[in-house]
Amino acid sequence: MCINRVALINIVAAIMMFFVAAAVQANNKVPYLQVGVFSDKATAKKILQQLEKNGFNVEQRTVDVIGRPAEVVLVGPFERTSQALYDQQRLRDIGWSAAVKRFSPKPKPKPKAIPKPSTFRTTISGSLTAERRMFFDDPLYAEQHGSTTSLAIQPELYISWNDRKSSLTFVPFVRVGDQDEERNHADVRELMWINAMGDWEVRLGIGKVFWGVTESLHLVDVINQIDLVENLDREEKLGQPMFNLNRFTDWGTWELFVLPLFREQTFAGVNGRLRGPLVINTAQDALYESDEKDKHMDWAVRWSHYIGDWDIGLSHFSGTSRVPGFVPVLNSFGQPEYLLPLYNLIEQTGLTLQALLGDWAWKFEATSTKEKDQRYTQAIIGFEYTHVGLLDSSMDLGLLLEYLYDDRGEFAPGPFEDDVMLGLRWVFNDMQSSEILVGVISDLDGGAISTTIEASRRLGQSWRLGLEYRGTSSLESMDPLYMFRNDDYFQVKLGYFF
Amino acid sequence: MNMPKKYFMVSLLLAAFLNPLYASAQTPEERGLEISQEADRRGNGFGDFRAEMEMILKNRRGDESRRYIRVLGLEVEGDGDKGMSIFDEPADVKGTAMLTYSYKVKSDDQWLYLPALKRVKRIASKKKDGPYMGSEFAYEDLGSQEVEKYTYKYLRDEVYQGMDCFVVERYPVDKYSGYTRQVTWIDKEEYLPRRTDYYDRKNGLLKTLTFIGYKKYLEHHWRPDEMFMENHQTGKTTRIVWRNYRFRTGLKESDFQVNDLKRAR
Repeated sequence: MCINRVALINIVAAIMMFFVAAAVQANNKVPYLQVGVFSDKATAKKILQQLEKNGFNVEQRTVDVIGRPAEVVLVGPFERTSQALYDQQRLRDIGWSAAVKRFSPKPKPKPKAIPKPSTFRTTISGSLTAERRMFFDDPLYAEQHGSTTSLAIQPELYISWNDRKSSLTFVPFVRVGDQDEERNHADVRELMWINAMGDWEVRLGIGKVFWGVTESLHLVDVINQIDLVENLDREEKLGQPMFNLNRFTDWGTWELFVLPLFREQTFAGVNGRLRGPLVINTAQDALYESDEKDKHMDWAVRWSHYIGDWDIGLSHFSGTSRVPGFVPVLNSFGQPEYLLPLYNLIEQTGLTLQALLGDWAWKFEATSTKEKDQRYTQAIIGFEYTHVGLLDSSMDLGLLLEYLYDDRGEFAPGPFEDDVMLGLRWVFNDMQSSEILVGVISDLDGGAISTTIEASRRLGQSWRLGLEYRGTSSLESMDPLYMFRNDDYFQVKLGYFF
Repeated sequence: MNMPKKYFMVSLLLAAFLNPLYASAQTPEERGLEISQEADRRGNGFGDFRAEMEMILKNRRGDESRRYIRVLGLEVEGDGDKGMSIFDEPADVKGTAMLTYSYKVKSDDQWLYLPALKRVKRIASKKKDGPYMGSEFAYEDLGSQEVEKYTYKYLRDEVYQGMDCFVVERYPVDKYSGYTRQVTWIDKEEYLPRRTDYYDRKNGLLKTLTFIGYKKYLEHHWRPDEMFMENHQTGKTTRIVWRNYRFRTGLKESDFQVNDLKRAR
């Protein structure tokens, strides 16, 4: 009986409390600490700033005091009175007395909840580029040519809806007219559906991804295969089929990739320059370590974040290596007839670091790779120094220095194992966005030097002219670049953009 | 406990009455700061905006080049604003996008997205005195104009184009700025900048920016239809024509993340 009464009182009290709370809620007023009411705006502002400096959330309200406006200095809002009391103590510690009062919270800027009709926007853009390559020296092999002219088209269809949060992009690419049939190729650079929902993003289709910070070579950038036949600079990539899920948090960006189909690297054909004595045969099936061949399910994850002037990225890739080895195929006389690319399975962990310190950008990339029974490390460390306003003009001059390392040394498949890249980036900042890029990579123990000069300038509103020189010199016959010894070239490119 | 508070209030009220006297004792620096703070205060509260911008670049010979840029901005309470610009033209840079976090005191954070490579490049904001897209506007001319980025000095009152104006000189705090000083004409009625003269590192007159055709948006947010920058040393000019200003469009912090650059278009 007695227990029941206590329980009853408790229930009644709880119900009353509930109603009081509800009433307070309905009243929509929240606790604040009122520090003072001032007629002088400047004084109020001063006090506000002082409080803000001490780490308090402050608000200023204008109220009417006997027909005159007065400034109320408030600390808050607080969710609960207990929190207000805590801050009251903190205020007292620094010499301010404040009273707990309830005010309506500041109206939050109304998020305009007009659900826009899902309008589809469609844009078509792209480029049409004519290119002429002229080689300085006679070709080494009879089937090759002295110069070549080709035309590349890369249109882009972009459809977006849901205020650009969802989109579909289609970018096909075709090159025609080249002497080298392998360079006359087509690719789907992008066919991607993107859907962004708050902190999440889903990408499904064929696309391109870039990871990294360095300029000479991209070690960590592993998602896409290189379209090597386009340019030896390894900046052109083939579209990669993927499912990609991204999550953006306060502790960085998380990316997950599932890559169901493998793309083979492209190589110069029989009639093409920039190849070795044996042609790399891509008409036949390539060799794979995996029994699933090019259907092996690759995956990759990456976390990247920036803290102040520092950028960091940590990634792991598991699957078919984008970098092939080569296996000679013999003819009936026992002579090697051509090469077949061999793609092993790898486990590759990558790290990128960048620090922006004044005019200096310090860059570091490293990968540790397990391939077959071997584990090896590759790294690039360097900087880019930008001198803004060269000789009191509006031109910028960038100086790049990068050291490239591969612990496999001479056994590394690529030409860069103990090399230094010296680069110059000259940006004119003019109406035509003119710029010149010079890159020299020098092998520290072999003495081979490879040089690239690229210059480009806009003509009128829609055209862009590009010049390029690529050459190698002082080569030992053991150096991988030795096979390009007669293939120095000069290239003119004229692009129309729409 | 109530007594000292009351006393305090009375003294504050007294101070308010004495204020006119106090004002006359204001130094030109204090007055310059006060004008700038008032101008800043009046510009606050827009929340977010979207606009389109056409830039017409002309050199001395009269050659012309145009840029079309979409601009998104977000007001950040208590700090510098966030901004994103997306280039639609010239077509060879279509899809290039830039994200800027400006801060009141420390130098801004800036990222550039290069669509051809799908590469996001963090750029040193020390480049603030460099030209924006080859125009006569430097990055710092177009960036968020926080009060704290300058120190001030009130020079004089002057009638500029029939408007009563304050003429205030301001000095960039950042040592990487391309200017020694800027002289601004601010009209007394709405506290809007009407003209700015920029002086280069050698203190020579470099550029003049004129604001043309202010229009009122929302309750009290004024934006110019055009901004005209003339370089006195090279004879080059850049005209910015603003179009389609929209405020409080529902943009959020999450629309100004580095990852949004890849989707900006």
